Amino acid sequence: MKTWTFIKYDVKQQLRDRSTLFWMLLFPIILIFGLGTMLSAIFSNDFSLPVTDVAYVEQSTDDYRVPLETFLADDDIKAFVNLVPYDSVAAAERGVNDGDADVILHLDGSNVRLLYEEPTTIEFDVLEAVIRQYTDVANQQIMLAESGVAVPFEPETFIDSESVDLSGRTPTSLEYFTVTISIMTALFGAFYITGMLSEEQPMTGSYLRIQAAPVKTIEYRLARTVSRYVLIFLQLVLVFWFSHFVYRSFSLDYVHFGLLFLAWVALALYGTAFGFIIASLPRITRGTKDAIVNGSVAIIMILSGGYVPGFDQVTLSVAPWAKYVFMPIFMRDGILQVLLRGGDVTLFWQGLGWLALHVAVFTVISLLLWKGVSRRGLV
Amino acid sequence: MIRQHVQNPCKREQISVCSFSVRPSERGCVHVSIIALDHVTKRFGETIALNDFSLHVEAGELFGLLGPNGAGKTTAISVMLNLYPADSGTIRIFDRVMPKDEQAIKQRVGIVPQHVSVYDQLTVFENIQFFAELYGFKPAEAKQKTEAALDFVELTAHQKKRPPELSGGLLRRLNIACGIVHEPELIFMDEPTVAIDPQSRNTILENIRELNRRGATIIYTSHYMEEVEMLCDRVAIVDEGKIIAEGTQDELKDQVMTLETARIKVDALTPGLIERLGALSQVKKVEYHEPYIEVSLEKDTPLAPLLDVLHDAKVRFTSITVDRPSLNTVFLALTGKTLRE
Repeated sequence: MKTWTFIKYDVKQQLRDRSTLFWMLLFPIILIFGLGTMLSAIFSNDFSLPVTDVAYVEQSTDDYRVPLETFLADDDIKAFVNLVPYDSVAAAERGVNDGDADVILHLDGSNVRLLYEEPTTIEFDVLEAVIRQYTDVANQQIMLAESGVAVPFEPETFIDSESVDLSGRTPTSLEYFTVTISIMTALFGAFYITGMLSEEQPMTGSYLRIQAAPVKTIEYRLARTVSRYVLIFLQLVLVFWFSHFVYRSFSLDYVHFGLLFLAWVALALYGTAFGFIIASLPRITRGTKDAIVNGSVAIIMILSGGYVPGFDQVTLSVAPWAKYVFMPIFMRDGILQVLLRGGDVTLFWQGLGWLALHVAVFTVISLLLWKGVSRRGLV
Repeated sequence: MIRQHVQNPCKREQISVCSFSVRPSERGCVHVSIIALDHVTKRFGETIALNDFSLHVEAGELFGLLGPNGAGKTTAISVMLNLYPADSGTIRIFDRVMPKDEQAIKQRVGIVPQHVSVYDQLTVFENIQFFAELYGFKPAEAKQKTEAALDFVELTAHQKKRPPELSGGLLRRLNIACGIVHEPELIFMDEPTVAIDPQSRNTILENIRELNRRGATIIYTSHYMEEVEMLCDRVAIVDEGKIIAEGTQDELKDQVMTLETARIKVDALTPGLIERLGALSQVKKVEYHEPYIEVSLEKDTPLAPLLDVLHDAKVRFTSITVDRPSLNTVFLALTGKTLRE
């Protein structure tokens, strides 16, 4: 009952606070609109990706050759991929060395390999993404066929034309969207947690009355956390709606709303645990704690490709382990991409597992810190 | 109107046995100690905020905690409500042990903090109703309590405004309404009149008297000795975390004052008058500061012999005032400090 009272009045206060309304509801829309427009301009019809000469070595059977070559013959692919057939990998390597080709595509039995020289270019990144998506879908088709399930589509129908077609409106808006949605949920949540705990100074402000009332601290904190996430949830619904209807980032047909909500709850837990870590840091002022959370949002957003789509590839090339550390990256690859665009739901559970692991680690760290802080009487 | 919780309880010096109900389930009493603090100590690092602090307050009292800023008054309230846990000593409120019975105790206590503690984004009405609901009232019931509290502090006309739209005096009244909406039996008022205009102060002081008349026990802290003198039945003087004196105002004054000063305004002095006044047995000292004769007397000395001397000397006087000791004088005598420090 008191929990509900806290939630009701806290949400009411948040919705009446103009600065909260701006930062939580208006600013994300402005940001998405601004970035979306910018990305649209970059990837507009006027923008043409340089054609990549691909040395193609085919050493397989028709079962594997025909689907791949059919896929590569698609007009959207042909727009930026020029296949140059070679008999062997050695011959293809010579072709690359001679400057006749940029990269080697080797179909070896059931394996599709891309061979290239460092450093890579954006054209190669696009080609790699396309081939990876093709093999993912093909494997799924094979798995379905082996299970005796009728295959309703050809492999290429699974290829999302928006992701491949760089002349589309915003090919990476989904990437931006998934990173943003993860960050907003988790780290904005963390920001609220540190803010909430900072307000809990004895004998100060309205918290004094809460302390003096017959209310359990855990009940108060739980209610306030829920109320903050109610607002974040409202924000995400708005962002989701905007992203879908304005930028057509994804089709509602593919969205698993139940699992999406579960992912959101998991992200909320992640943010709460992260917030508790920062709040438990000893001998640091409230302003510094807020700055740490804000800084974390900005840094993780940049490294995960939130502000500059594609930057995550740079991060991963420097630190491949970042895939398991930066939440927005594994969320995008493992959860939100699948939930919003369709695909193997196994990845969802893998992503959720990573998230759970992070939450567990954060919880242990914050408990240890909190214990230490309490023992020294610094709370 | 605010419901009456407690029938007028007995005053210490009047009836020794009385019967009243604090709550229907509670017992009748003989001088019920609402608050019993024994040898409480609270430290903040190296600073001792409360030092062997003992305090007993009875039901229905309007009890003053008087002391300069930083004396430990607010810390004492915090410890009583377990906002800061005490390092040692025992705390019993309503004959229950703090912190063991914390929730049950808090249910019956209200606090009016020193600083206005309300939510800027909620209206006056919502602020009060929120706190009513926190004390377990269902929304419909909380609404009724809120209306009663608004009426009590005369804020009904401002109920739709938000706190930033209110003047300092109205904010203080809202602060009180939030603390009393659940009709507490014990109310802590921590300097509720700081930084407000005289008119609002008078309204608030009258509110406090009325709450006490309705049966609430009130602990009133202040460094304004005039307010404490005006309001409180008993007073404890706090300094450096200790109670240095406690009792009714007269008891406190008796502790430190043995002399009174009579100031007589005279038209003119006649020869030998000062000597004749000084010769009276209860008079300790006589001084003339035109147009006043100041006579130091033993406490409670009748003034008639003095007036007889003036009459015999044919000295016309237009006024006589007797300076009685104030709490400030008491505090000064006990601590060597003034209350405004």
